[in-house]
Amino acid sequence: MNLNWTAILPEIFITLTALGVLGIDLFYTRYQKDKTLNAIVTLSGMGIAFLLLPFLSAKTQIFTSLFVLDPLAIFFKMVFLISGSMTALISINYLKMEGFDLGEYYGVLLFSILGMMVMASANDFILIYLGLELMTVSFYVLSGFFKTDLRSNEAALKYLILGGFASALFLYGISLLYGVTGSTEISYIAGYLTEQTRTGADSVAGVTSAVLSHPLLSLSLIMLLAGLCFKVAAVPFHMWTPDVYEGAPTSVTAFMSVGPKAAGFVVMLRVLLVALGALEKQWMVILAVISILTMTLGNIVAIAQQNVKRMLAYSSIAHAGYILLGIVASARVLTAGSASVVFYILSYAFMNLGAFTVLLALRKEDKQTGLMVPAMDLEDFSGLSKRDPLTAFLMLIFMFSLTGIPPTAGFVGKFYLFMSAVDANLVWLAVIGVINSAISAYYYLRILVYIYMKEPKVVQSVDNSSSLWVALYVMALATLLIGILPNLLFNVARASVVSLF
Amino acid sequence: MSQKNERILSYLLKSIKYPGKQQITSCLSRRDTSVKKYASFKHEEKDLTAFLIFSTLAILGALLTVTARNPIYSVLFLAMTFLQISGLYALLQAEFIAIVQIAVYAGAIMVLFLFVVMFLDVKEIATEKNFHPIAPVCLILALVLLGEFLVFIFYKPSREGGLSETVTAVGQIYGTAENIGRTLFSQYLLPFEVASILLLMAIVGAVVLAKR
Repeated sequence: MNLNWTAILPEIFITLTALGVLGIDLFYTRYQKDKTLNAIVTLSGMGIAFLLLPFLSAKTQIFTSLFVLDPLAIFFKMVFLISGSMTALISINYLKMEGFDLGEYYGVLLFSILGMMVMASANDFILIYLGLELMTVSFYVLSGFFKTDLRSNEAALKYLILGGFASALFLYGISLLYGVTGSTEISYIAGYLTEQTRTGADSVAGVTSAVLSHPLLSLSLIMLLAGLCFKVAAVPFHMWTPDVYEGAPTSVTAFMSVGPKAAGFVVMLRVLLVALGALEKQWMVILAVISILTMTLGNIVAIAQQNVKRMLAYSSIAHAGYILLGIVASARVLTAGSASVVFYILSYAFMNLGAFTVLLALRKEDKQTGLMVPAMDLEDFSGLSKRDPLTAFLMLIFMFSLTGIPPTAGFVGKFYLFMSAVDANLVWLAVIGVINSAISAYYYLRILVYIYMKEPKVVQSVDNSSSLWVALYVMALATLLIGILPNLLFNVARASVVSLF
Repeated sequence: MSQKNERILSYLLKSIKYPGKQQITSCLSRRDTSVKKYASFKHEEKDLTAFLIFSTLAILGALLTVTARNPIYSVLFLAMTFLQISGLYALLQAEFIAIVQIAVYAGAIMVLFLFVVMFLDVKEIATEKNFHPIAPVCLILALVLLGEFLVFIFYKPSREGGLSETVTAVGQIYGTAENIGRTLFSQYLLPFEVASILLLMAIVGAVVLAKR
């Protein structure tokens, strides 16, 4: 077997770092006061893996083409590593304050990133499934990390039960697809189904081949979609999202709203556009309906929320809807559509992580005990601009970006998404997207109203640890830079998807 | 050895290397009945009888699992279902999976279930007959699902080129431990390693959540 080991070097590195982080706790725990060392090792491991990525030769297939390293995989691995390192940075002080400063946190975080990286590179459904499970099992643990917090326990249990159900559906879909096509390899399935399309077109004009119209294939498509839609939290598979996002530790919620979503979408791109590209007429309709439902429900329910964490959870559902809109569009305009999806995922990663980081940094005084507890409610944000203008301004950037107001990343991202929908002759879908953005402005800007136009109601304080602020500055700068100079990143996004087809 | 047998043997050897692919199907014509007889499962009368016994007992066990009032009985009936299903696997030449089914499900998981039942000290479950108001809806949905699956099972494509051609006929050595091990450590090496990391992760997670 001819093995090009370098292609999988970042994954090997992340695995070794994760084992090292677990090893520090085992051998070194007596000599350290806190878990900063674990965080430093985690960050440097991710940094080295990140720096390795651009030097690897893209378009490599190893392990009998199970594992593929193309520009798309490299791009998404960078997204995972960036958001993962941001999460590690914002977690350091947060875990200490909440009293759960355990070294395993970073190990589990690294394993979840490893799962996502495997998903991004997988060219085989078995590998996709294993990566998916590695990622989700890590998140079961992470969401229940605050062991004494009942809400955190509830989040972990809810995520475990519903996530297991979704994984089973996904696996059932894989097995049916294997039954129909005789393989689990994505490129083989793509070739097989395309061949079937061709033979069908040759024999009788306009009649699709018997395989393509077979109900088993549709059933497997629906099951695969159900499993993936659960992971990206799309309606009607979104029920778990608000409760899990609210109960999980805020640093985990921040990562959960970005990492698994991005991983779900990269698998969706590969499965729908490559493996099941021949079935695009079928999945386009399903995804268009899911996209509209997801956007609308996410935005409308978010309006009613008083808890900011819950509101951001619904907003992340709505954003999944926008991204799905891009996938629907890429059924017709392949490159432009999927490039806009890839672009939006990176912009969304920065702005959403940033919004959650501000929420995580803000603390208020509990009236009964006098202790500083995490601020969660809209009221807790009132008058923040007078107490801490800088934090207030950063929140302004992230909220503007989530709404889609120039000159931020969110505006450009939405612009590309809706433009690709227009290019694909789906003007009505783009119109629904724009209407939804208008609805979302209400609840994003409402936070800013509280921050800038109301008097403080509670005693607030902002976490001023340097690690958290490094992450905040990076995310705010990235949000602005992508918004001001979008062409640079869009070209990278376009180049990354061209290799898919 | 006749020429035909040699050909079959070479195909079977190919199937060892790439059992996931359709190496055999593409070569074995459906009309070549003698080849098919050799390579596909032996659905003879003896097997049919065994299949009927296993599947009937499996369904019976599943029904009794749900209806038994004593949780210990329920768990034991579940064990019975698992054993029958492993018999079905053995009929399909999947010896390895049959053994794993007994070791993992009937062995490890059943012990876990029994342990939990004893740990919680569950006696008989209260025998109230009032159903949840949503029960009829569930019943209708279950029937719809059953109908769908029946449609898929009995669906026959209207013309040639349907699924029946793509169903892979596998050889008798397909499901042996040797064959699975060979595949696992050659073609599917990477998924195997990822699975090992997944298990490590699960252990670490369980310890993190359980320790004080």
